[in-house]
Amino acid sequence: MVKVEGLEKKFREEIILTDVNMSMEQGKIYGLVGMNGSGKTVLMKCICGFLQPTKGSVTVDGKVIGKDIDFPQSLGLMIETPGFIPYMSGKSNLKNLALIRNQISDKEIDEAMELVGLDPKLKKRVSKYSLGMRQRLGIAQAIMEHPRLLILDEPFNGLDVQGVEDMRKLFSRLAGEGVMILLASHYDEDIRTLCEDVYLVRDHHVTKKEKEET
Amino acid sequence: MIRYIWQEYVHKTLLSARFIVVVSSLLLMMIMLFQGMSVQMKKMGYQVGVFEMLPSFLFYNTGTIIYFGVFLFLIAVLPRWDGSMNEILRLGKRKWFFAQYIYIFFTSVIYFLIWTGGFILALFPRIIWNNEWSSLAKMAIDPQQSVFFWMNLNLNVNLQFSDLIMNIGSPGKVYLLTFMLTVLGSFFTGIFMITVNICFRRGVGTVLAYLMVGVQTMSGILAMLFGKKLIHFEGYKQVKNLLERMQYYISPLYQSDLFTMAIHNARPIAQRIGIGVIYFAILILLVTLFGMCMIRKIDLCKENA
Repeated sequence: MVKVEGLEKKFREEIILTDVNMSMEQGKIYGLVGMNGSGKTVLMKCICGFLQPTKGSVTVDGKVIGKDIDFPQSLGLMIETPGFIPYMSGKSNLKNLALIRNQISDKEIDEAMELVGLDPKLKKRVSKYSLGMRQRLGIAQAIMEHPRLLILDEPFNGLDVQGVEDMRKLFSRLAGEGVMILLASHYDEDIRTLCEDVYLVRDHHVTKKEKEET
Repeated sequence: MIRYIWQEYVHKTLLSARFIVVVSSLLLMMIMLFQGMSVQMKKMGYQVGVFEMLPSFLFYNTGTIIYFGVFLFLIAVLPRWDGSMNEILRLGKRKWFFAQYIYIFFTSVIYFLIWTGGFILALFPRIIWNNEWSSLAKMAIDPQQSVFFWMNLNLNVNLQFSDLIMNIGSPGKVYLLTFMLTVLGSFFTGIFMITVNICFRRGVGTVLAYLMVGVQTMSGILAMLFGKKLIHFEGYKQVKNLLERMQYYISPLYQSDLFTMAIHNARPIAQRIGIGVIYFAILILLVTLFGMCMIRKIDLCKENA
């Protein structure tokens, strides 16, 4: 469970977010909408632990981020473009990342790639990947270690119609397995179809919206 | 995790365009710079030991700026947090922070090995592969013979040798001591740079580190200029002495200069090589502790860059 309480984030004197309160539960998909530069990504980074709130706190499974732990313990993340090594294949990149925690097997990496519609046997370098393929690879790296919390910033960017449909099915399946997903998207349809609760980021504040209002 | 860090290092540093361009340029520059010296040595029948060039060249006049300046340029891309959130998340903040230090250490060692290799490449036909002081080193400690050798060279290259340096031990020992102090000096400068960049604002650490490199050379040059231009000024000797003494205190990098340490027997901190090592060890420990305390409290992505 993720709880955001009284969160405020400033960069020097500029207020980005203020008085943010959110509560999110396992097994649900939450949407984050707002204009460009409204603070969606900053909020996501605060929840992940990459940015320290100026005030307030983020608690994940009872542990305060930045005090009890640096990052949520079981987190899959895709914010901005992941810095893959361009002259290595997609699978080599994922294997390289998986080396850090050394928790998953080669087979599980293959499964994650297949889940997002990529061929693990493909030898093509990442630099030759299309935008959509890179996006799929980014999602594969986020889900490959079976996280309980998944934070995805614009996961549908660059995907074709079939790709968007595949990802929607995948996210719904993961939520059904108990994963909490927070995703930011510009597209109303993604939010309407997928998310149970939607938060709107506007004028430094975050408010909970009914789905119809989005 | 070590395997991962090493793979990352190979892919993102050793195979990076920046590294390849810098190393190629450095080797090319050294070959061109020492071509005249090689010809002169051949003409006069001198040879130079494989371990002798690095200790004598690196700290001669602007050697410090070239040597440390290029090293800082190589690691100025750190901290690598853009596009690295997935790595930082998996490593954790502290391990990621240490990984940056490991990058600097590896780069420092490899960079100085490249300098050593560059000298060998540039003077290959005149290199002798043993651990005894060469005919060139023995000639260079005599000012009269040395002047005769260097005055026939067009290029502004000079090498200094001293019996004080030779008294330290064999060329291999002098090389290893220089290598150790220089790696410690560059490692300290590097970690200072990235720790300030991470904990405060990206760029501040880079500027401060370059100042640290520049100040050591600049204070010496200022002292020299002051002596020449204002020789009739009443208090010039005192000011000149002050400027000369300042360089030993202002820049910690002075502690990596084995040659000057031996020649000037500078006081009080640079009297012995062991003190230089302890001095760097303390500075490295202080910077590391500061970074470790700060790393959990700061923003770790480019918004604060």
